[in-house]
Amino acid sequence: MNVEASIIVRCKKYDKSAFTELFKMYERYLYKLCYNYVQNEQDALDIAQEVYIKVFNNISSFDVKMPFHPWFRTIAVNTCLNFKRALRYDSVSLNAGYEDDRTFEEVVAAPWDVESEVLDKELGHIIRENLECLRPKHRMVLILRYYEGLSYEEIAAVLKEPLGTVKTDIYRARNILKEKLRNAMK
Amino acid sequence: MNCGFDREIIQRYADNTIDPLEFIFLKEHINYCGECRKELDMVMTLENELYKFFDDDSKIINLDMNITRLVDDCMYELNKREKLKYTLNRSIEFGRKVADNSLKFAEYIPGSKFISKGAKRAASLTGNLMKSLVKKEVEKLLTNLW
Repeated sequence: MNVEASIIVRCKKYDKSAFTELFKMYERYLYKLCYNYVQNEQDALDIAQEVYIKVFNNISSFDVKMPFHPWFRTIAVNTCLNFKRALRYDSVSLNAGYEDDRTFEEVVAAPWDVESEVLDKELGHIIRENLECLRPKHRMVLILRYYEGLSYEEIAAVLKEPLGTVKTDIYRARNILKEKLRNAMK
Repeated sequence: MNCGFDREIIQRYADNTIDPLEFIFLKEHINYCGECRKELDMVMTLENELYKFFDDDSKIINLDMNITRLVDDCMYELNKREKLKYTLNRSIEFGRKVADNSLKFAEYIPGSKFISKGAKRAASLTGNLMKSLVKKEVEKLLTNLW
């Protein structure tokens, strides 16, 4: 997301209309990020509001020469990670699947050929259900990877974690979801 | 999962970070290994589903975060903080001025110069006395050590 430097400059002078413009620009992005993390509307709105207040209170320390989006994203990610809520964790089921004899091309092409909306909804439902059971950090790495489209290195920079830790977290999170999907598709 | 093939290669294919050589290995392997074919199938399905899931817009159809009110509240809080800061600064400034004026007034009290000189001399004498005492004690300690 590109934000014009002039808006930020106006925000730094506490221009009300500039803040309104900036926040409206980020409304959908921020809400989706928060919703993907908490998976419920009320918590997502609460976190988004907290992020906006933090941005407002800290805009004076932001360097206009730097890109705004990574700064905003870091505040949003940290606010999500600090958000406390009772969470339950699930265990991993390790059952193996079915037999087939398709070629590499057929296997790779298959997921994009799925046109059944019902199946899509079911898979989405399985992801939603199990996403809530993942550890908060695991959920966040998945969001940064699939919602933000960041590379492993970029995720490590946002979370200030070693690259190896980020890779392990993504691997574990994906593995849990993969096994759940595998079980559901049997 | 007993074929011994490195499953990381399958994930690297999904991540689009696979080496050309690894890609050739993977392609060959998938054509005869059912286990890895299933794994690739699952990895690709999950990748696809995760992208779709996180990009789903259906949850924000009626989104209204009432941003105008939020900004108004932030501005109100900011003004409150600024007013408090201003009042505190004014109080500090006033206190400093009162102290300055009191000192100026003290200069006109009869005998104030004599008292000031006396106080300075007393401070200097005390300082010298302390220095000599410390010096003596240190010397004593060093002698005991040797």
